[in-house]
Amino acid sequence: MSLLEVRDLSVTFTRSGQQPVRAVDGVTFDVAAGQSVGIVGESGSGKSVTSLAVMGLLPARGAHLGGTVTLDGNELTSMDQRALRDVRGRDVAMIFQDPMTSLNPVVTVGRQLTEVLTRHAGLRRGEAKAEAEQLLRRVGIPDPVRRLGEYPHQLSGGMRQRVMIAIAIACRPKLLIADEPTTALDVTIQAQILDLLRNLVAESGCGMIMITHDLGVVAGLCDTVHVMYSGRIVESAGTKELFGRPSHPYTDGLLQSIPRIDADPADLLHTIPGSARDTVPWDRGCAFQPRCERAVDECLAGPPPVAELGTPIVPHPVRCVRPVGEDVIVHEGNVAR
Amino acid sequence: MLRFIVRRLALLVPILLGLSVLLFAWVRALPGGPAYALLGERATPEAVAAIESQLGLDRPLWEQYLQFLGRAVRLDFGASLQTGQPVIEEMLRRFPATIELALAALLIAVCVGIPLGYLAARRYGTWIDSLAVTGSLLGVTIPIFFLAYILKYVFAVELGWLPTAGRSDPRARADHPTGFYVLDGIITGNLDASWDAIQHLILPALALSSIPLAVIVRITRASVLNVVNEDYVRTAEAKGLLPGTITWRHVLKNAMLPVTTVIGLQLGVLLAGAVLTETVFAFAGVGKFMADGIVQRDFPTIQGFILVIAVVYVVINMIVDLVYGLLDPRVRVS
Amino acid sequence: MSVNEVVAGEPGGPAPAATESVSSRPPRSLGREAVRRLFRNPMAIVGMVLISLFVLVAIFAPLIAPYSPTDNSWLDQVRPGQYPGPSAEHWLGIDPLGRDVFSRIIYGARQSLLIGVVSLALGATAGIALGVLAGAFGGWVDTVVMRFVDIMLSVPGLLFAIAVAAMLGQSLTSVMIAIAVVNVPIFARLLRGEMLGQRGADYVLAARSLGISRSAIVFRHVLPNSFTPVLVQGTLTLALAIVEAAGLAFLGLSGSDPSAPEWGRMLTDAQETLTSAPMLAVYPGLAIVLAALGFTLVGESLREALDPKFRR
Repeated sequence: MSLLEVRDLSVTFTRSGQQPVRAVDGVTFDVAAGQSVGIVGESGSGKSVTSLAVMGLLPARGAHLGGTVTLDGNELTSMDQRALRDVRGRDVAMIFQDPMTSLNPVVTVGRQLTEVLTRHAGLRRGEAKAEAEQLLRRVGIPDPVRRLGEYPHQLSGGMRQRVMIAIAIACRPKLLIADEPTTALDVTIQAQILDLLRNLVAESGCGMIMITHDLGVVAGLCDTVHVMYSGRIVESAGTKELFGRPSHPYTDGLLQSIPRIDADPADLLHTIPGSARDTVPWDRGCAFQPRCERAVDECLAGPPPVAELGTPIVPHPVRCVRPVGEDVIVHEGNVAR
Repeated sequence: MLRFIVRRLALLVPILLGLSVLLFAWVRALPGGPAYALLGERATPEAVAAIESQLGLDRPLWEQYLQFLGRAVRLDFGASLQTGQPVIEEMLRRFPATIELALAALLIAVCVGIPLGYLAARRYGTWIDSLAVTGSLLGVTIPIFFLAYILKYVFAVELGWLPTAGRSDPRARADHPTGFYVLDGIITGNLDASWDAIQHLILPALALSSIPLAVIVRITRASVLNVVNEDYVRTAEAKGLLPGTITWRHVLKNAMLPVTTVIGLQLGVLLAGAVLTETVFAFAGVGKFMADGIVQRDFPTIQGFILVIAVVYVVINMIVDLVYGLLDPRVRVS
Repeated sequence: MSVNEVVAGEPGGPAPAATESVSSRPPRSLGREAVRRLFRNPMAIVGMVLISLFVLVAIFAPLIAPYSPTDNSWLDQVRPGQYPGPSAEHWLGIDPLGRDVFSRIIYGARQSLLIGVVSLALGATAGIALGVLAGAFGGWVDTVVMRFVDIMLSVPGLLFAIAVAAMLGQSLTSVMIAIAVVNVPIFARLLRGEMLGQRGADYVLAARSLGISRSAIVFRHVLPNSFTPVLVQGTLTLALAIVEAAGLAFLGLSGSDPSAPEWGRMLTDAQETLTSAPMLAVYPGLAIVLAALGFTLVGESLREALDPKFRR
């Protein structure tokens, strides 16, 4: 049994007077303890909604949840808010994209840290403060005593994200969810934050979900990668396997559009034509079809089948009729090899 | 902090100077000129001539302005045409009544407005929200004195629950060392007098509180609506904090920042509104004195009142800024 | 600073530090989407109905009112402390001076609309001119204008109006000017904020890089783009003008003709007979509230429709 088991997760947003929108559809994946799992996709692909659903943070009104999320044997999707509040911050913790807006501007860094400790770890003020100091030191913030009394705006962007990380790891959660943790940061800081996260996961043995649009972030950090498109996982594989043999045309396109230092400057950068808004509902065909260079008629012949390109031990499922590097058209019958 | 205060005080100087120029121009522009304004319309030509030379109206304009400024700084606005007493003395005697009334109105506005605005925001789109929004729109469109009439008629005349006018029961005996009647009762151990003063305060304070109440409800609602969608509130939820902690430390602490500013600004509105409310309830404060002054064209009183209210208003705004600085660490540093 | 601005959702005062951090960006343009949302908002519909009613009554007052507002032929029906209530001939009864209350209320709409529109036109024009001046030239012009605006805002709006009206003497013109003066700093600040906000906007930079003159940019681009915030503020200002005019009338600062039908004055006069004939206060009071509410509802819904934050 894995630490986190997400089974057939779906999220539908309903707004009065508008068509319901299915933001996440049939998402299934596992996270084992000590494992880092990347979820990659463009904005609107449903990756952030997936993470919020795991946290139980979707708005009560207007968001409809399907499927199950099980953490360490406890099913989170059926828990009431009171029970969920005990889990959040203690067993699962989250790091958000923009540390500037994610920290309360009028509360000191120290208080924002200690409030998790007093809430979940049962520490008293004084104990929590000492612990907070340790935490800041652990995430690499110099002069932690002074920093505890400061407000978020007095810290640099990288510092703020370190504070966010300190808050997240404060109660030694089993699962850490990082939602684009480096997107709002300077490039030079990004690598430091990623290093920090890698070390923390290695030290504590917790599981981590890394939500990102940047395959480069995944490359150095994650063991397994799920690529999402339009609410569904379109390809899953071990990181090396995925980079070595990208099989969904979308994954392939993402990889090719990363600029390479050794490329001929005269070559044009590869781009994926169209935008994520040019889409097809999954029940009628492949949502990526309108943008796909490998599209064939079969792509619109109903929901695309999942082709298993890996082995039972090292799986590599791809939701595609005509995976990259394969010459056959995948049918329901010839899915597994 | 001290530098902040000094800088804010320095900003006051040009505003007050500008205001004094405006008031000086205003007095000059009064029908019949300043002499008539000071003496009243029935002034004899001799008296006018005397006061004109006394005021130095024959001297250059800038000299006259400096003289005006000198008197204004000493709070010398001349004698009230209503009573013949110095305006400043008349005002000082009546100020406690108005301050008491304004504070009571503000208390109502804050104590009702903030919870109501918060509730409306948390129940956004429900009937509670609609009611709060409609009520607050009504609150700013209803003329204060019309509301005062209604309250007076319903609760004082028809139901007889509360007194119709005045600050205290004329038959009761009470000492007034400070002029704040509620406080006086407590100081002198005469709690009946305090209770009597409170009863006299309720209706005028309710009428006066309508605009600040409406404004506070709306600002609180808008501000809370803004804050609950902030990322840091989501962070607080992701931390699994208890709802009470999220409400107080993460939502209200931020949402109250704009509300503080508005509360301060409402004090000025209250002082101006007192002119109307006090008149309806024959409440013997500066507002009533000013209203009578307008009717009787008592220009020294009008002039003094406006200058004093403006100074009070500007000073309150400065205090609000300082409080804002205390509450918002971002302002404090920059 | 007066109530007007707070209602407009831009809290702030002579304190620039606090102002900047709490004011929200005013809406940009009146798109089709905004119009659609406006017409789906019941608040806006009620407001528009109230405004239409108010304007129609004001325009067609002579056709609607059964009698002249100054006709006191029914004085013989009035006894001290006893004023005939509603009847078939006099829908709202007769006032202590023997006049038909319904006709006076109908004609009163004219006066209110006139005061509101004229004071808004005067105040908005002067304010917009000052704001554009400050925003377009910046530097010391901006400093001088904004200091002036701060000074005007340092006196609560109603007091300012009182001072001006008292100075100008009793007349309808002085009431309108007094209310207009209160509006000047509000519009000046609004426009200056618009100018500053748009100065850095991409289209203005583009226009400047094309060598288009400053005045052309102001008149062809910035002003049209400021139209909607001005419209919102204008609607709200009209409401407050009506209420402020009533307040001035209560203090004896109204038109020079005491028999002219004016809601504020009718309401003021009703104080004398409050215990014996409270309805004489209710009619004009209600008229003022409904007219002001109409403009407020439309103004507020307009702002909400234009504000992306409130999209439902």
